[in-house]
Amino acid sequence: MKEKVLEVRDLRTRFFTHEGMVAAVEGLSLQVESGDVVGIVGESGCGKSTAALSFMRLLPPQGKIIGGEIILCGQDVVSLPAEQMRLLRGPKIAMIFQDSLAALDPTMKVGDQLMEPLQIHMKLSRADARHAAIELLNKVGIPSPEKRLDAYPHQFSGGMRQRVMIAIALSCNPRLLIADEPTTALDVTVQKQILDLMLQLRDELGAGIILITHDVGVVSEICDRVVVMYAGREVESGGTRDVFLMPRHPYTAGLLNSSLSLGHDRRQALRAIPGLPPNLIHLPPGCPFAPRCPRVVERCREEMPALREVVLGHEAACWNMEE
Amino acid sequence: MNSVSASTFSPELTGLAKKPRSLWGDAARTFSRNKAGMAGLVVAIFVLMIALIAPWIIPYDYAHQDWERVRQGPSATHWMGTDSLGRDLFSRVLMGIRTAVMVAMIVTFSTAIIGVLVGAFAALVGGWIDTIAVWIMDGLLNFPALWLAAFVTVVTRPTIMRLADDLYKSTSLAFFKDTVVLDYLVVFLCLSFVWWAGLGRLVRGQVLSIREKEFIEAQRAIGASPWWITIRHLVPNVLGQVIVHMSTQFGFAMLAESSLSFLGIGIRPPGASLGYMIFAGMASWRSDPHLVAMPGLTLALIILAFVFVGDGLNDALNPRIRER
Repeated sequence: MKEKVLEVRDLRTRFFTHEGMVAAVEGLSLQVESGDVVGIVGESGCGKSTAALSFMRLLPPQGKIIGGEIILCGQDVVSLPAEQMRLLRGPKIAMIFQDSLAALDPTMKVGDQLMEPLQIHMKLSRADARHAAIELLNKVGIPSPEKRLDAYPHQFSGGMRQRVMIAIALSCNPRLLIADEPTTALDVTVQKQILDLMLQLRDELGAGIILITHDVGVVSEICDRVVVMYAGREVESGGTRDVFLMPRHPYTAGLLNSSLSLGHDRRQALRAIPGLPPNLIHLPPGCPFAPRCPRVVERCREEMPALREVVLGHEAACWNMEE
Repeated sequence: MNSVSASTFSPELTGLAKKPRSLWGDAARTFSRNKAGMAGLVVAIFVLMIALIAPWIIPYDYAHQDWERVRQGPSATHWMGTDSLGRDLFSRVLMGIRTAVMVAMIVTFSTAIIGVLVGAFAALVGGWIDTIAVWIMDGLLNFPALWLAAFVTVVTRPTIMRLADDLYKSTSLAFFKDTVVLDYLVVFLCLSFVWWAGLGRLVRGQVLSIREKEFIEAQRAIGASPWWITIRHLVPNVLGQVIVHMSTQFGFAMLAESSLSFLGIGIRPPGASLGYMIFAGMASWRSDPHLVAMPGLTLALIILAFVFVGDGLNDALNPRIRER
């Protein structure tokens, strides 16, 4: 039976900086059910990580959610007091970071770091937490966990550390797991193992997963649905197959054309999207992708297109969609 | 963190056969390979031992004046010779070390406590409290420390003396009449007052930079409270720097005590201070160089030892350097 673990409606997040207000996320909506894997793709700086931090309510001090709703397991996260929100992190929502070496405390044994969420949320004693930690390491496929508990993060390989990160994130059985570029720092062979591990654990625990990445290959491999973001805006979303086989937004098409896949036709050159993403402080009126868009028309520069459903469950925001 | 080079990913380091190493164990191993650091440590421990047992091992009473033997050079009976009042210089140097170590201990620990508390509090609370703390610390650091300490000494001494006198009258405890003890007190107070700022600024900077690290963010992501993060993650990560700072500072605190005494505003006779001994010897250093050389060389050797220890600890506890 599926339950709705996360529902985001029209999320708007801003950064208030010295240079001005940054519209980091502008009108993002998505829904994650238990067992779902939802991908958020886009270039660096398109707001995908900011969106994730908004869901966790872990924005830096200059960041602020100014509109929309984030409903996590039936609770509106936006208005929740800080202390109650803290208690949701771990048992309800957890996160895996990109750089596992930076995300683990270099001065603390891996075992102790693994035991921390258990001690914080489940109030386990040290001995019980240690047993649970051994079990967790077993579950994420780390051999002889009793010995590895007493090692420090720098003694682990990158893939092993990412497994530890997953174990920490899953220690309190969260309903939603956010993985922010979880495989970017890893070897290709290890990437596949980590993705498989995440899918296996999702099946075991029935959690929903949000995968944040710029790698369309990873998304096509494991995501059920995908949201494409550009300049803080959701430009296209739908089932992964629908979106990637028949991209409606020229930005999605550009992303796909500029990525390499095994079936790639060698005679066809890899096509990069010309230009750079716009400055989010001074967004021009109209579609933010217009300056780089191959199919731009006059209307694109004047008016921002709204999301329109093309097929059931597949929407895109473009004036000039490929039908 | 960029503390780990590619070599740590190699299989022999990540292999299971390898015994888990601890951060402090690693540091101890690195330190033991540092020759200058180990030599410094041996001297430093020796100095601390001497300071501890000096009153029981000195061959002569350090204040006893022997007018038959004035200003003699080093000999079998007086290893470092005698001073202008016929006192045994070796005994006086040992007692001088005791004085300097005592001052350095108290000053180092009290500045560590003040510096860590103020630095960490300023960084964690931020806002106008942080601004004022930085203002005070920068102000203190921009004055020549010794000049400021001397100024504080001169200003506070009469007050403290008067206070002690009043206390003596009301309590009639001998403690409050002992001018040597009061000298110590004044020196502790003014050196601590001036010296905590360096460590305070260091701790503030460390806390601010570590707080931005991803592993602190990861802690928030598992629902750790601010207190939990501070005690379990911030403190251990700042501690290494604090220890390095304290070990170097210890030698310089000994030097500062001697400098104040040299200027005549620190420990006064009959208390024994290396700095005062150098000052007294200066009057006749042409004819009796040992009066300046003995306490001077002792002081230089001790400070060098503590600097080496601090350097070694810095290499051992700072992983970025360690990995080289």
